[in-house]
Amino acid sequence: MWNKGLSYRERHGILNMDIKQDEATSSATNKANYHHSLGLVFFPAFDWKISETHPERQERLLYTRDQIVEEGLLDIPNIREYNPIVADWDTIERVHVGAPNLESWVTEAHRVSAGGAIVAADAVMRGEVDRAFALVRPPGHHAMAMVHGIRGFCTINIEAVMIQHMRQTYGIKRVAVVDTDVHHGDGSQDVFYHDPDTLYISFHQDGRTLYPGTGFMDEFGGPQAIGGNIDIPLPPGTGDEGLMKVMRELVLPILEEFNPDIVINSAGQDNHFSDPLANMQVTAKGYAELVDLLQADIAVLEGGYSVQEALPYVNTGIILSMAGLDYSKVVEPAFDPVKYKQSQNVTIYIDDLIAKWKVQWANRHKMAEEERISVGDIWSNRYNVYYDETGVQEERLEKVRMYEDKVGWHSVLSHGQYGPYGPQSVYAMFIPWQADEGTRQDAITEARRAKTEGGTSRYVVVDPLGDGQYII
Amino acid sequence: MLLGLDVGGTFTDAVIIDGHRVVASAKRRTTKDNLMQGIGEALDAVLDSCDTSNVEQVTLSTTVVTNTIVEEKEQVVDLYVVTGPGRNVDDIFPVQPIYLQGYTDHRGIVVERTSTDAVCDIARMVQERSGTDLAAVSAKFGVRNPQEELSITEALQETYNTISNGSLLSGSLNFPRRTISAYFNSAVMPVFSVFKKNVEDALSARNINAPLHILKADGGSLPMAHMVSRPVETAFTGPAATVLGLSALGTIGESHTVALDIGGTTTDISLWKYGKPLMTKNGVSIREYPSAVRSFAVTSVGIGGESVVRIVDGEITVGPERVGPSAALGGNEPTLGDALIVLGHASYGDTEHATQSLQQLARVLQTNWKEADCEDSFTKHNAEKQCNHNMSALDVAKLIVEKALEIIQHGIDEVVQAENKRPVYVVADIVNPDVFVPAQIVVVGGTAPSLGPSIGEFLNLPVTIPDNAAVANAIGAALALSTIELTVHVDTKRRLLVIPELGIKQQTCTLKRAEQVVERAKEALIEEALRLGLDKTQEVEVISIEDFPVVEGWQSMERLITVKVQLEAGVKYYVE
Repeated sequence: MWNKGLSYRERHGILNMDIKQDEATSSATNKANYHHSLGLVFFPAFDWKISETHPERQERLLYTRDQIVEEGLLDIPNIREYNPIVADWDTIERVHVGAPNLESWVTEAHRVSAGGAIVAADAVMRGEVDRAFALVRPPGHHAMAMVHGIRGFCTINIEAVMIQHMRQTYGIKRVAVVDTDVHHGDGSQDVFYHDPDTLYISFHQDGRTLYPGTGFMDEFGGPQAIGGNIDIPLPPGTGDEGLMKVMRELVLPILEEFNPDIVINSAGQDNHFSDPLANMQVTAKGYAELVDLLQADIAVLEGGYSVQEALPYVNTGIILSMAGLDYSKVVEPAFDPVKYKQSQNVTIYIDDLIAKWKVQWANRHKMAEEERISVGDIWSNRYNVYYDETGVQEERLEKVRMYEDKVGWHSVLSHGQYGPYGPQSVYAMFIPWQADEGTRQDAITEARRAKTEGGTSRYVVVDPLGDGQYII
Repeated sequence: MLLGLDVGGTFTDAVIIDGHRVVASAKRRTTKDNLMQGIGEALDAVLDSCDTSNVEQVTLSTTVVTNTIVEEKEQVVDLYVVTGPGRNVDDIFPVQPIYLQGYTDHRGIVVERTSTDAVCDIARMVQERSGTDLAAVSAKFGVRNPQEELSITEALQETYNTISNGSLLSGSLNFPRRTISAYFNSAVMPVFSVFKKNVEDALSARNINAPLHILKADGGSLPMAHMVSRPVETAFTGPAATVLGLSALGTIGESHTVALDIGGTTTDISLWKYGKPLMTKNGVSIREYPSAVRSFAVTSVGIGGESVVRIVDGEITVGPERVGPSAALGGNEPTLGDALIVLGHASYGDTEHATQSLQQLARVLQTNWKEADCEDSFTKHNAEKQCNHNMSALDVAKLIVEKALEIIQHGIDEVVQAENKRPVYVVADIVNPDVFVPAQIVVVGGTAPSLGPSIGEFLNLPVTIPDNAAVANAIGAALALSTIELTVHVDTKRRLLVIPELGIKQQTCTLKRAEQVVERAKEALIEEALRLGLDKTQEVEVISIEDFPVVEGWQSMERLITVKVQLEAGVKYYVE
């Protein structure tokens, strides 16, 4: 177990040990309070929608609210409710660059949703609770560092903003994000792709059968972060059985080797058998068990659009599981164990995938070394990104500065077109959070050089633990 | 003429109010073993000088149910629940519940029926063992469709005399809370019935035939005849009576107010936002069990006129215990009251005794400080300063009052913080929060005149201490308006209309828009008020409207609408 079964405050001795000894043993309630307390940020944004009939509409968490309140979960002594805050622009700008600017796309709802994740993180980092769950919307895992519009219902990456907040406020280093949404979190992958200290693991329905069409085994991390991005594309029809196997045989061992300071769960809920946008067969209890296995410090809601048949039960299961309570009775009324049994073909496919992944994971150091030698100083890559919600087509030229012994900058030269704001172009220089003064100066010099070359209207530098975002 | 009667833990107060004036009031000791004696004495005292035929209404506030609950003297109840899937509720009720098969989901769709034949069989077996004729029934999402709860209740009537229903007691979501309400409702019903009969006898023996109302925890009064089926709602009415009393005395105004009721043992804190008292978010806790019983939000801290003063580890402590009367009244240990006497803020009992008891404390404190001083004179800088001059009873009195004020301030801070932390579910409320910032303090209760002014100085806020505060609770009871709350839930797609509190479920509803549902809710409330014979002039207040578009098959056509309306708590008029 990556965390030895202990919560963040237990691992770091934030919890007052005297209190713990005396009170934790005195009653069952206290035991729960001191080992399984859960901070819950519940923010259903009942006044926000993308459009009337869009899956991201007011109604999405209505039934979840009904279920949570009807079950009396907010009255449980070891569950503590928190209100979200409005995330400030500075934190968001240390992650995202907007075109034409962030204000054109980011609404107050997005900032409150990111603020909800930040509140959850604060509750854990300050040792007020053992774990926290930000049950918030709108979601964020399809939002990349560069924002030309809405992609896959997402505008800003709420986990990325939360992690930025944690880095600048608490100085955490090694972070693992485990994305259990049925869709590949291409936004989170994009934000963390070149960071060897932020491990991104996603299992999702195979991109050949589902939006956004990415997330394959060979997306193994940027040239200086190979092994830092783990995509596990699962076949349609995967059920609880397959998910647990992937968790036990791949995710948990990888986490243990990565040795994170903190683990975050991007808790999408659309692997559910009733989800209208995907084709998996996971149950509410399966999700609760997954959460129990993963023992994430912080969970943040992502997708999940079976608003009536899945979300009320999946969220109840996750909350009970994170609070150390019995979730065995969370069985959705629509569940049919025969109909939703994982087929033999799927089981064989997953077994095979796990075996391949084990080989690739074992080879990661060798692959990283080969990459470093073959690339030289600058790695570059040209690709396109499509914004389904706003119809923007973006073309990117990405570059990475390779060093032998430290993490270097990466830059994106971006041209977008067909959106409501017409053609947009921007050059962004991303300085790594690990940067020392040398790395920082190299990055700024490179950005100035790029500016003299010309080609776009705006040149910005993003220095997450330095001066934030600024124009040069 | 209105007659108000407040049966408190220590005193039974009676008042008669005629034309905005308190024309008679009486305070008698509450006779714990036989409440009727104290009630009779108080009644006789106020009725002495008036014609009983002029009494238009009698309103009672009582601790009968509260005491039964606090002393754990309630009866055994067989608790039947229909939970379906979800949280494990084995350990969250006062008794292990009896689980019935079945499930109604969040839309009020009965996913699995509960067989009434099976219920009858199970009930016979259960009742054979428990021997009780009291039962309670509660079903998850019963408020979205009360049908199953009602048919189970019907089946149980073969076996039990008294059956309480969760969804009839509250129309709000929260199955465990409704279940707790139903359980305690049945559990206190026998004691309440006896009390009701006694009061009715006492009144008719005095030729009072006016309608008898009883106060509820939410500050509203309803006819006794109606409340006999909902006795749990008459628990914890003490704070409600105080809050109404404050309102009747006209001291609150429109600004954000912190009201303090400082009694002998505790200070009760309530908050008034824009001149209206705040209610508990979901209901009051009955012992350790959160219930759905609506009540004013009142928080107690352990500071009162007779809070004991002690020295613990060289530090002065005030409360939360109350041991006996103040030293000035012959008690063994000094109290906050003694300090107030020494400071000249209060004058009762023997001042000399009060001073002596505080001087005794001064000597103990000085001895402690000197010892500490010898050990380490640097870190005990303050102690050294104190040692240089001889500590007087006055010095100690100041320290005691300061300590008490700190505790009260801490209590107020926590209550205000909790209020400002209430969950909000829309973006607009986060971006523009409606924050409670205290603007004034109102202090009532026995210790109000002596401690009140210091609280104002300490918190740097204006303080009001109303004159007529001694019988504020009885005044509050006498003048209480009636309250009823109804929830109307409409699912336009399924043409379903549910009013859980009235046990109504209609399958042929044609309402389509929120305004229509609000109208329907108001009508239902007025009908219910008429049925209960209430004052017709009270205005219906809309508490909340939830109106959600429902999309099925990618088309937005239908809506889920939930409207809550109420007759709001308050007083009929102000008294001078």
